[in-house]
Amino acid sequence: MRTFGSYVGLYLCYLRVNWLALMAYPTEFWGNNLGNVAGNLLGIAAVGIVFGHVRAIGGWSFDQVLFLYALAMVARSLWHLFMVNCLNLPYYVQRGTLDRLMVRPVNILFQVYADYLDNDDWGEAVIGLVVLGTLSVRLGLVGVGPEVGLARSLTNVLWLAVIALSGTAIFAAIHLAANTTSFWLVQAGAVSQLVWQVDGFSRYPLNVYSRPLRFVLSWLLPFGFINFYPAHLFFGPSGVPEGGGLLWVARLTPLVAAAAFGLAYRFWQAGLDHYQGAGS
Amino acid sequence: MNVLTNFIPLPGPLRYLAYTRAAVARVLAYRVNFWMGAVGTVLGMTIQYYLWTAIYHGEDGALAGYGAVEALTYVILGQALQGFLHPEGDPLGRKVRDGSIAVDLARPADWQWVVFWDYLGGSLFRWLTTGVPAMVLFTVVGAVAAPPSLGAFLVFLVSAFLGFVLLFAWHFLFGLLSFWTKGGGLIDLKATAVSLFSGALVPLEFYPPGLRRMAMALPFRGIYYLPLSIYTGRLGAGEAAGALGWQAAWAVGLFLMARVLWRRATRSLVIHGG
Amino acid sequence: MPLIEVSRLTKVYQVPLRQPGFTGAALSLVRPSYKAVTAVDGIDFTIQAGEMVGYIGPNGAGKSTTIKLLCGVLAPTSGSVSVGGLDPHRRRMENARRIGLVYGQRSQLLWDLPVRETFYLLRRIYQVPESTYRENLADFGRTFEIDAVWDTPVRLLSLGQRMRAELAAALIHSPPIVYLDEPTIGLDVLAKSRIREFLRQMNRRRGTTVILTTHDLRDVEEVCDRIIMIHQGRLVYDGALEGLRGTFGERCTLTLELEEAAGGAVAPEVALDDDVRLIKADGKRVELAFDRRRISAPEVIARACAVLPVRDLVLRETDLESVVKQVYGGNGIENGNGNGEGRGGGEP
Ligand SMILES: Nc1ncnc2c1ncn2[C@@H]1O[C@H](COP(=O)(O)OP(=O)(O)O)[C@@H](O)[C@H]1O
Ligand SMILES: [Mg+2]
Repeated sequence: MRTFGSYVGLYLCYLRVNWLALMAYPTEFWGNNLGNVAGNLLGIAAVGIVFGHVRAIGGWSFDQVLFLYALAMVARSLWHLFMVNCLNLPYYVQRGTLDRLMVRPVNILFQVYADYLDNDDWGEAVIGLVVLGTLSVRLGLVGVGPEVGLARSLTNVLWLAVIALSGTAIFAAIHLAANTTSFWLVQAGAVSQLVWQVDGFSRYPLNVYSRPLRFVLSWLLPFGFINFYPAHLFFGPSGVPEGGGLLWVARLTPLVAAAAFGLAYRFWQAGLDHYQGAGS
Repeated sequence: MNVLTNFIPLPGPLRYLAYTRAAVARVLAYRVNFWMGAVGTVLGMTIQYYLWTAIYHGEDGALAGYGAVEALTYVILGQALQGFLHPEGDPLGRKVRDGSIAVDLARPADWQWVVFWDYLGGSLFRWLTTGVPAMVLFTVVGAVAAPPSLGAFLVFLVSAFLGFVLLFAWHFLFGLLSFWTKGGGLIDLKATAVSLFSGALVPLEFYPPGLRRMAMALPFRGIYYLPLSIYTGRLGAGEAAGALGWQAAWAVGLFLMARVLWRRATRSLVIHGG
Repeated sequence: MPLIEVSRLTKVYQVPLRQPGFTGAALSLVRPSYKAVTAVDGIDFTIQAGEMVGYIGPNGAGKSTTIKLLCGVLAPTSGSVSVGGLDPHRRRMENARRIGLVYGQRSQLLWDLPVRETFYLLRRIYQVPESTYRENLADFGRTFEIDAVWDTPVRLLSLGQRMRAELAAALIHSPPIVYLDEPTIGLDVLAKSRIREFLRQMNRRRGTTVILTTHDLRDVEEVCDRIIMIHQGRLVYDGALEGLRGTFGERCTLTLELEEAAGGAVAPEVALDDDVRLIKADGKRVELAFDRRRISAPEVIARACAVLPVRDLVLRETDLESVVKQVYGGNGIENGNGNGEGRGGGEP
């Protein structure tokens, strides 16, 4: 059996070959990341433009909305930087290239993720981290002075890390599930495309949407656990429009993330059993 | 001048309708994609509806001169138009990168027109089958306002079409870069420029003064802002006529510029043995 | 105990049917309909460690499907596969460690990178011990001239070079079983013969079990001791190559077109001895088969022209298609029994 350590070593080796291959096209790297930075700044600018005229959206201040926005950016970019290749799953299935991964003594999903990385989303990662860091200080979540306190700062930083990783897992789960449909559907790219649209919902606080939508975005496609619910861990009962009632839901975030990924993984395994390869 | 005589395809553009039809057939061939795209459009409009309802919640007056209904109409129609005026399209660059341009170039047809009619087919079809019905639905349930008059609606259609030509020319110009860069890297940048300066997401009146002046000076506002403003009735008859002229001038100008560069690009393609 | 045991193995593909029209498409989303394609149909065979087996059959016969079943890529619809005592699909990981797989049409090399990078990665994937890795590289370096292309990006390799690198990559972990699916497709004569030579060597020196699908007759002739032939998913012959000699031997077919219908009376005069066999004579067309190694083509042509009013002629290599047709049609082929377990002789 393979040990965890051997997977780490293997992953580093995959990182190496992927990055070497990407370096073969340096202009693309810079072009893509330039575009990426611009696109993400635009997203933030759009929030800023609206807040030029109102003080709150759905009871959330500009800083808070940006905080939510940045939390999603960090999770999305981590997913994008390391797991984006699951978007290519439909091609692997339709062209039968999954065969190649199935004859190797390595977990297949691991290979799908490691088989191709792109370097297009560093802009989102950096901007997300910078904005998140700035706002954490501005909102008094993290600080060196006595007004925040070391213990509270550390707890918040820890929670932020847990939330970011949980968010990454939720993105991974949703995209994995969406693309696993390609084992059954011929045009599965379409489902994935739809998921990207739904991703748009995660950019704003969930309480602006109607009840049914909110339910879907919490328990079916749990985008709400990427930023909306976790935010309640940081702002305190008086800082959020719905008070402290959602704090317990927020604490469930890592569990929800694990459950979501677990379910998606089971679905993926069912897909593998259904795999037929491609005609010669 | 060579460029000008070629600008008007001599046998008449109607013969290019075959490409339009082929593009529609292509959309239909990927039906699941089509349906998901349709659902996606409605979702995008729904997001905008709730977001802007929340923005106006608790504000009794107008924001940036927009009342709640006008703002909702603007942003939701903006989403509905994205199937038609997709800011992220790349009709030429894709063909250059995957090499299918060679096939098209071998055909005895004016290629810029071929791409134009092809692109128009897919866009128009998508819009007519998803954007328009979704807009009707949103109007019927009272989420958005209908255009002030039939005349305004007709002018809006013309304006949207000119917006399409403008966007097409911009995509085409940018796609020409692919001949030299060989990569699709700058596509995001291109789409961002359109999204920001066209007013696709937020009416330009909401922008801070500096950014607004910039957006007003650039041609991109002809893609979303002007047609949408005609639809909401913000522009009166006189202003609308001026807007159409402004759009047309830019559309033709950019189209011609694309044409000149296109000649250059294909010439270099021939020299390099394409 | 045999290394590979296949019994009543069947694989049925469910091919989604596209219904015409808009409503058809919508309907197929809700209730998709499928057509069943039986690619492998109740096949039995066993293979001992160290054998070199040619798995042959015309296009679409089910060769690749069988290989995928043996590799564990696909689960059988019914019947069973056991490789070294394991079910390759259920115990995919363990099975994967001891097989090497070469697809003629698909590459596992890292396209944009120098050849060496693929080997670094594969070494990690298969956890190849340092000593084995070095030994193997030295070995391949000699036969496959890997050193010469070690630093060359894969996309710049010639087809022959790439195929050799492909083979070396598939063998870097010293797998005891090697499956090759049409490995010589598209290669030139020289490259093909090099690959055959290497396979023979590897089998001799390491006792590697080799299963080779191909539709190049020379591959099987020169590499395999045993032939398993399938047609439309069914096994039609299993046994020694010798059992097929009658058909394989006659590697050339000469088709003559005559000035006038000479009738069956004249044609047999050309095929007087064992060297030239008359396959068909109807009206103005006469077909002869002969073995190039025993009689040269000009000689056969001269002989034919001497007795027949030849107007035109076509000379071609006998292809697998027609060999299978002859076997399948029961043209005098006996069941082979080279390994004492000949089965073959499918239903006529
Ligand atoms: N993934 C698949 N889905 C559906 N049908 C397939 C698939 N793979 C192969 N087939 C069909 O099964 C039959 C056997 O194919 P294959 O095993 O590839 O044959 P061979 O390798 O001998 O040419 C063919 O009719 C082929 O069309
Ligand atoms: Mg095959």
